Amino acid sequence: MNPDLLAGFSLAFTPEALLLAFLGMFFGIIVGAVPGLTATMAIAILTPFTFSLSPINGLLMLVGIYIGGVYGGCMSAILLNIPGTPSALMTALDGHPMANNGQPGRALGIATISSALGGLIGTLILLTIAPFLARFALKFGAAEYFALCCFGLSVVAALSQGSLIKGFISAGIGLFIVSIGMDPIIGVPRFTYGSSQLLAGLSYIPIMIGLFGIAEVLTQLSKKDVQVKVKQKIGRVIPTLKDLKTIWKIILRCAGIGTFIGALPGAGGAIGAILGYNEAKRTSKYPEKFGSGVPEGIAAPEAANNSAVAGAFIPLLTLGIPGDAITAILIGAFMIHNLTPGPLLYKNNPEIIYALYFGLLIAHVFLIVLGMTGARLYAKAVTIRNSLLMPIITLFCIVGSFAYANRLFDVMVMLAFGILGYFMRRNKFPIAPMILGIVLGPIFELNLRVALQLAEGNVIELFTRPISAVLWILLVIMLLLPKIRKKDFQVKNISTSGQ
Amino acid sequence: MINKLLKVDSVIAILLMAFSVYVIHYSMNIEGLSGAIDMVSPGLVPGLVGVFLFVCAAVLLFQTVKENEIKRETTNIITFLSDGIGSYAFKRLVGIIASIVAFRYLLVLFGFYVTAFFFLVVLFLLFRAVKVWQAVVISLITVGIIGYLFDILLRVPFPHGKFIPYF
Repeated sequence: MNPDLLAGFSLAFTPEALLLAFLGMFFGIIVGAVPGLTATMAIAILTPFTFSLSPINGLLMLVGIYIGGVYGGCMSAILLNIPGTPSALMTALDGHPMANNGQPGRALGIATISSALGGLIGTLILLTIAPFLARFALKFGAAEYFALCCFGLSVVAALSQGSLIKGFISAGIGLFIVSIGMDPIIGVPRFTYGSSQLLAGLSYIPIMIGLFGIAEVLTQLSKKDVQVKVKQKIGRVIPTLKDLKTIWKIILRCAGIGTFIGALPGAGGAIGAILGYNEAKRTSKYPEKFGSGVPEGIAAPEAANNSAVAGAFIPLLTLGIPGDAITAILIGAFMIHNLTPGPLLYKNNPEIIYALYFGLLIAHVFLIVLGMTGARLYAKAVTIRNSLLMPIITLFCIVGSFAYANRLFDVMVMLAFGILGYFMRRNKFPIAPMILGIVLGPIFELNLRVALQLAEGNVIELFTRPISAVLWILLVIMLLLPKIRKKDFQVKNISTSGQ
Repeated sequence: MINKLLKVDSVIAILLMAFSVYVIHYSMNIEGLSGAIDMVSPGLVPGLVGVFLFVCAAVLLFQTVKENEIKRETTNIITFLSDGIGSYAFKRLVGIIASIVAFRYLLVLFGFYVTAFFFLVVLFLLFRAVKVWQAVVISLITVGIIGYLFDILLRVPFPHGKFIPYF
């Protein structure tokens, strides 16, 4: 048997790793269930604390939070009609009516089984495709990585909510932030103004804690604190055989859609859930019943959004390129343990990759256990007032940003980015492209400069190497496609209104 | 026209343009070891980012000035500031930011446990979450749990204060 596979198995199946994944999952579900708290925020705050854990224990805990956080969003969507996470938006459409029809347990059961099976299928796709992609990525040189960074940044900016230009500005600010400190090749200080603290650059864990933690706390201040109550009695959670027969085909199809969407930079679970729901409605024998509480309407978005988690790991593990904000933060978690995600991780630390695969598989088993047994507890958690949680989260943000490098300077960095994040949210500047800019910035700069050196300053060579040329063409298509579609739609609209 | 230039997005775009001009200027003056070790200047990427930000900011300014008033909601900067600064939410916002800054400096003097306890009590009161006695009890329990979890289990070295060295 493959010794790396065995090593990965032994790393993932230690009592400590399993316990941490289980606790991470439990915590993640609660975070996802409480409206206003997000898995992104939880992972950003808790990443520095994984420092004292072994790499795989820390990563499995964060993976547990990630999967649990995405799944937890369905709790408040079903019970309160308030999606706990953006990816649970579509679940509310049929989940809440079913709960109102006196079957909240049934809705939660269908959501749980669909999420777990969707995630498992996504993981199986990940472990089938990823090794091939990683092997192919080993052929990438500096020019290809530079093109890949530009592709990732542009797609994320284009797909993020709101205006395209604000997405690009956000990504540009992210790129600027990482240019503070010594340059990565010859160590010339830039934008440091004589400060020794700035010389090493700004650590991006405090930045992320600020952007996702403190910014959320400040945003909650301007919202009215409402005490909500779950009126329904949960009842039986385990799905019936009849329900399983109704939803299994939808789960399979939507898991495929979700994994593909999750693998695209910037797309993620929310888009996967929308596409999954539409696909279920399109192929249904009774599409008119969607929205009134049909099982397929719950199964489709849940299978899609949880499989998108596994999909997001494909570019992260094979190319070292994060697909969304959470995987961008997870890169930080890898780096804390001196691991760099990408094709070389497959070559140098295959046992970590296998352990992660096992961790992802076991996490979905935990999801079924925790989802089926803890529904009543989560129903209570969704009613916790935000005003009670925010002060504790603020303290966690401070402790987290300090714990990363034991520097009080990082607390002030965290606060500064919290304020920046708050104003960005208020003025509808998306934060995800900025995070991607921060994470991809060093790779972007290093590869651009190396590629230019290798090409002896010939810029054209950056665009003409076969793989990079394909990436640049894809980038242009991705940017132009929405505009062409919009124009096409307008032309069709004009012609139909003219008739 | 002045009204359009006073929209929040326009002001942000103008400030961003000024900032990007500064970044471009700074990048052009970064002295590397060009030609010797690295033929590409260390100022190349920040410079490119500056140009990129300038172009994006210019497009944002153009879009904001051009757009129909009714089509998109964009607040005027004066309304934005006057509404914001006078509001209760803004005062609480300043309160939280001030508490974090105070926490950072008091931590060195009084150590983690004492500072964190008072910090949490202040925040609970700022958020109007609970009564004073409840804030005290919850803060004590929370600080105890965080301390045990991170200081003892995860071995995060919390700073001890100058005045109260054991906390």
